[in-house]
Amino acid sequence: MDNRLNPPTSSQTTQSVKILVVDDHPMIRRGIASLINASEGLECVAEAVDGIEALEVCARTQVDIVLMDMIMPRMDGASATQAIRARHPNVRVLILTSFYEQDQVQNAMRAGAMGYMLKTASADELVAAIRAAYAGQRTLAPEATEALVQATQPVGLNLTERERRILELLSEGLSNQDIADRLSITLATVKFHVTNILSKLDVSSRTEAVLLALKHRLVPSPSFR
Amino acid sequence: MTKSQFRLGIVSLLAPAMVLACGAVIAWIAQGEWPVWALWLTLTAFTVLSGVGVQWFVRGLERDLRETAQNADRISRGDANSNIPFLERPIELTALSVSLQRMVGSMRQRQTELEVLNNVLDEGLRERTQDITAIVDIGQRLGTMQDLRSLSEDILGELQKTLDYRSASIWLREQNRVVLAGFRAPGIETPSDVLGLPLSGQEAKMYTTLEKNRQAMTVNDSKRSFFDWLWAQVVQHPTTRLYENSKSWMMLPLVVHDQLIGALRVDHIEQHFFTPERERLLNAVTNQIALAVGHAQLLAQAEQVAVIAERNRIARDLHDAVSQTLFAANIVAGTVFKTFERDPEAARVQLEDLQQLNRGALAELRMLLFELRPDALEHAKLGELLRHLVDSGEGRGEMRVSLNLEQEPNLPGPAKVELYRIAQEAFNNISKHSQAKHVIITLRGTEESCELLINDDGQGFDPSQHKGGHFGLENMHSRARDIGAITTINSSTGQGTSVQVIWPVEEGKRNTWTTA
Repeated sequence: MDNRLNPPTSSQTTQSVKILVVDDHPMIRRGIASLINASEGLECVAEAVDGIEALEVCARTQVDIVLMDMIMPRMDGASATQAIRARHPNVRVLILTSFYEQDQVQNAMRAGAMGYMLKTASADELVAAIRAAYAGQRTLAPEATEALVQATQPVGLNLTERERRILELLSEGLSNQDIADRLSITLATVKFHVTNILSKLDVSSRTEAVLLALKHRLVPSPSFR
Repeated sequence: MTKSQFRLGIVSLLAPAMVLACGAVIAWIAQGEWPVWALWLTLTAFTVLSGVGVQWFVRGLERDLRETAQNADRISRGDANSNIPFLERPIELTALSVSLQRMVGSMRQRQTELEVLNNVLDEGLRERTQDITAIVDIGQRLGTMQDLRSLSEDILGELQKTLDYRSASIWLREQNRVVLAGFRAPGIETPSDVLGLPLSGQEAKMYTTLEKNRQAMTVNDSKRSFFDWLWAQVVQHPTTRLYENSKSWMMLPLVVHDQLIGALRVDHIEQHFFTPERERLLNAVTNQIALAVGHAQLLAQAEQVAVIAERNRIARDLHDAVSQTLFAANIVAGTVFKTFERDPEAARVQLEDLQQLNRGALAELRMLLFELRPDALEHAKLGELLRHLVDSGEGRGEMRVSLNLEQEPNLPGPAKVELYRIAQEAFNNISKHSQAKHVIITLRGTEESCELLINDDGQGFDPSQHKGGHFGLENMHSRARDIGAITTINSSTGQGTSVQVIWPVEEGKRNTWTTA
C-alpha cells in the first residue's frame, strides 16, 4: 500500500527512532503514524497492511521498531514477528492488538516480541512503550501479563479436595453412579462436581480430564496403584 | 402279519372245519340208507361250497375294511370330504363306521368355525393395515422438513383418514405454558388466530393431570356442569370454545425421549365414541406424532441456533470494529494538540479524521445494537441500515462511499434483513479484497419492488475462478433465493465489481441465478 516515507529532517537523522506501523485498519495506521511523527525523537518511516508487506519493508528500509497488529490477512502478527526477528535481529517488535487471549500472547512472546500492548492504550502509553522497547525494556499490558501468568500456572491448582478425589475415581474408570455409591453422595452431586472439574481443567470430556490429570500427576499414576 | 389278518386266517380255517364236522354228523344219521359214495360226494360238495362261501365273505369284509382304513387315513390327513361307507356287518365295524362318520361331522363343523374365525382375523388384519398405513403416512411426514404448524395440520389430516373425529388438536409445551399448536375440525370453520394461543385454565389443568400420569385419558360421557358452562360464558376463552360441544374425548401424551412435549386431543359430539379399537388406533398413532413433532422441534431449534450463531459472529466482528475505530479516534485525539502546535493545517485534517472516526464508531455501535435486538432490525428502514454501513466503511478511512437513496422501498421485514445482510457481505468483500477507492450504493424502491446496487472501482475478480464458497458469493445468492429475490454479480479482473439484487423476481426466473 502507500508507504509514506517521511524525509528525515537534519536534526532527526542521528537520533530519531525509525518505526514501521503494521495494521490492516487504514485509520489506525494513519492515527498512529501522526502520533509518532508528532512525538519527539520518533519517526514513522513506513506503513504496512499485513505481515508480508512488513517483511518487504524491513528488507529495504532501516527500521528500529515494528508496531505489529496480531490478526491480519495473509500473514498474522506472530508469524511476521518470528520472520522479522530471524532476518533482522536488531529490529524490535512491539505488539499492538485488541486481543489478549492466552494463545495470542504466548504466540507473540514466543515469536520474540519485545512487548504486548492492547488497543485500549492511550497515546501517551503507546509512545512510552515504543521508547521503552527502543531502550530494550519490555512493556506488557496488564491483561497480557495476566494471560502469561495464567499460562504458567500448574494445571488443577484450583481443584477442591472433593474434586480431586472425584477426579481420582474418574481415572479409575468409575461411572458417576459408582462414584456416588463410593462417596455416599447423590448422583446429581457427582454430576455437578464432574461439570466443575471439566470447566476448571478446560476440557470437554471425562477422558480428556483423566488424561490431563495423569499427565500433570493430579492423580496417582496407574502403575503405582 | 397283523392281528386282524391272523384272525381272518383262523376264521377261514375254522369255517371249513366246522362245515366238515356238520357233514360228518349228517353222514352218521343217514348211515345205511345212502350209498357210501353218495355220502362222500355230499360231504365233499359241502366242504367245497362252505370254503368258497367263507372265502367270499372274508374277501368282502377285507374290501370294506380296506376302504374304511383308507378313509380313516384321509381323515387323519385332514380331508373332511371323504364319505364313510356304512357297514352293517359285523357289529364292530358298524360301530367303527358310525364313530368315523361322527368324526367327519365334527370335522366339518370345526372347518366352518375356522372359516368364521378366519373372516374375523381378515377383518382385524384389514383394520391393522389401515392403522399401519396411517402410522406410516404420519411417519413419512418425518422425512419432509417443515415447520411445526404445517406439520401439525398434516398429521391431523392424516389421522382424519382413519378416524372420523369431530375435532382433533395438538397441544405443545412452550417454555412454561402450553399452547394450541394444531387444530382441525372437518367441515367447521376454525378461527385461524387460535393457533399459538395458550390453553385456558380448564384445559391447562387437564394437561397437568396428563403430565402427572403420562397415560392416555378417555372420557366417553363428557358432561359440563352448570358452573363450567357459566364460567366459559364469562371468560369466553377462545380455546375452550373449540371444545364446548364435545361429548366424548380422548387425550394422549406425546412423549419424546421420556419427555412430555405435548398432547394429542381428539373430540367427538357422540358419547362413547372411543371404543377400544379407536383407543388402540390412537395409542398407536400417538408415538409417531410425538416423534414427528419432536423432530420438527429439534429442526426449529437447530435453525434458531444457526441464526443466533451467525448473529453472534456479526456482533463479534462489529464489536471488534467499534473498538478498533475508537482506538484510532483515541490516538488521533491524543495527537491533535501536539500537531496543532507545529502544523495547524495538519491538525485540521486530523480533526476531520476524528469526526469521520466518531461517525464510523457510532454507525458500528448502532449496527451492533441492531444485532443484539433482531426485532429492531426488522423494523428499521433499509435506507437507515445502509447509511450505517456507509458511515462505518468511511470510518475505516480506506474508501469513499456514497449512497444514492431514491425511495425507501416497502419491504417485508425478513426481505429487508436479507437485503441488508447481502449489502453487509458485499461491503465485507470490498473492504477485504477489492482495494477499491470508491463505492456507490444505490437503492431504488417502489411500493412492491426494489433494486439494490453496490458498485466499486476495485481490482475485481474473475467469477469463473470463484465459484461456490469464495467471498461468500453463494451465501449472497442463497439469501436472495430465500426471499424470492435474485442476486447478479458482475465483475472482471481490473474492472471493479457490481452486485445487483432485485426483489421480487418475476415468476419463471426464480432459482436461476447467475454469476456473470
